[in-house]
Amino acid sequence: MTGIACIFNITWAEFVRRWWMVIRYPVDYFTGIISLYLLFVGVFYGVAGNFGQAAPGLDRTLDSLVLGTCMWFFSIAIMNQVRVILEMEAVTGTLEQLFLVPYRFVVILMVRSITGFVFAFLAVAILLVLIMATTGRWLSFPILPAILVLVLAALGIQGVALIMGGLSLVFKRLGQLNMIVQFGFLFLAFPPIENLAPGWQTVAYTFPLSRGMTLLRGLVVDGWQWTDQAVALNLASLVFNSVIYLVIGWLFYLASERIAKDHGLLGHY
Amino acid sequence: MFGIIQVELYNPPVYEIATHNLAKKFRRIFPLGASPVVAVDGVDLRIERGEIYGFLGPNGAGKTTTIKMMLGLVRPSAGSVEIPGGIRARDGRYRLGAVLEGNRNIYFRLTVSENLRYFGMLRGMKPSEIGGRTDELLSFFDLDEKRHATAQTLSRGMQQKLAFAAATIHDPEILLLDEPTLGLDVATARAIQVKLRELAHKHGKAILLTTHQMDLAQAVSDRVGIVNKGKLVAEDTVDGLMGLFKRMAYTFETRTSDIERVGLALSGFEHTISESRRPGLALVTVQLQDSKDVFRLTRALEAQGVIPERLSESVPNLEDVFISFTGEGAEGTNARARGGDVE
Repeated sequence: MTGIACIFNITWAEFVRRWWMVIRYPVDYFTGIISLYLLFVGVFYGVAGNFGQAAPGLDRTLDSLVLGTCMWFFSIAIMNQVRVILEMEAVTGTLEQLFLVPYRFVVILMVRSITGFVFAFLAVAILLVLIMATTGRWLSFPILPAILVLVLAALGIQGVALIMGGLSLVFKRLGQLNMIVQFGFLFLAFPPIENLAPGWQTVAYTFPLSRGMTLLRGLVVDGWQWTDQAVALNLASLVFNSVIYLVIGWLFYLASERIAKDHGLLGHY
Repeated sequence: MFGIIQVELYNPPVYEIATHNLAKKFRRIFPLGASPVVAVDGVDLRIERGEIYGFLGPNGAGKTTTIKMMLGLVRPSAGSVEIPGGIRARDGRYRLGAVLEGNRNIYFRLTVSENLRYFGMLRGMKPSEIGGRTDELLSFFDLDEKRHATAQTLSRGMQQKLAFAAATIHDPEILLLDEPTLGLDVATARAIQVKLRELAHKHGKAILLTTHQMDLAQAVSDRVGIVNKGKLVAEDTVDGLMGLFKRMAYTFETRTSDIERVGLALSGFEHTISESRRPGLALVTVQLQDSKDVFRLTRALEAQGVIPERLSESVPNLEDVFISFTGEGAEGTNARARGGDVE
């Protein structure tokens, strides 16, 4: 079996395994969507009720809220992929077995992240439809460009996921740190960074997701066109940011794996 | 115009996996300045095709760390692991398989067949190959009826069998097994013994096996290595190792009231006297220099009026060999005083 056929094989294996888990434990999968949906409904009606329907700029705020909720969920889902895989597999005792494959383990991690992306994407799509149906705010946006932005933003988040994964390989339990990072993504997903003071804006744009959120808000809420100069500039910046995060995350993960193997930590939990 | 054609007759090594001066020191981060723990100290192993190698040692001797270094799960501090054929077969399959730490090798939330399918695909099997192989393994391990049961609903023994099946689903050439029969009932442990012999002797697999069950090691191992405090202290065939300790020795039982006369009779022989399991009797072991001494022994006993009961030749087993090299029992307990047939 050639390298590509082998990658295809493990990708298929991962999709099948994940599907088995979804159908065997549907509550696990859908509870995440439902809990976030309930959280969103509370926040949405809280904002709408406090400001009143006639408040200036409320439409944009509420549309941004819909988008922000979905993207936050998406970020958490992707970011948790690697860390949860490593923590759970170590606890169940299968982590070392995943290293016993004819290629580097990081390939499995990346493949699992891709399958995680697809399943997270499906969950976000379900969440978005639920939210739009509940609020009556049907967002119309160019789907393919939005998916491209989503994929590029996911690459940057994957970099953070690899850093968290590397840390969990060495330190095993990162529940509290993970919570802090999740709240960090909350700040990147909801506030309109493009409206911040220039200094803060620059700082915010060094993080992953922020540039993707600006682009998505522009495309989905503010009606930017794919051909606009602002889209091209933001897209170039997003690509740069995501590649940098992915490379840093990858290198960090490989260094962590080396430390874990040096100290014999792979089988620990 | 014609160059010299060089033909190299390459004889590939018959061993499948070897370690060269393999060592591991674990450096401790806390407390500061703590000295490193030496887990493995210069181990040279060579597992040949079609061979079962019993890798024995007390708890903490460095067996698992050695296996994990061979698998690439722990980085050696020094030395190397050599796999002449590489880790990937020509058809892309992974050439190694391992069962580590008992039954914690499988997905408890997946069914038996899902586990096998997943690990088979992960290790480079084509999906079309997996069905037949799964049937074969499930039938062998008597797990046919549990095919659709999730692993968490299986008994510990069945989980262990599933872990073994998952480790061999891709038909690996090299198998490293850390306590593969731990917690299994007698029948299943025997079935695994049969399977191990079949894999090695019929299909040419190279198998390294760690176990605390000396009878298992003695029954299946072609060669045995004994490791103690990180060092390989003995290595040979089972017969070769036992031959080191085989001296001409006879044991018999006698009434405790006759012990004084036994002492007189055996004054010219190296011997030990210990308590027998049967009440009122003592167990006597006598070392002989050569076979003619048997006559001298019987005459001496007869002269003192001692009647030996259950007279038999004393044969050392692998556990005796193990204890003599490690100073510990197979389960890691201190060796108890034994009948004297082994120093």
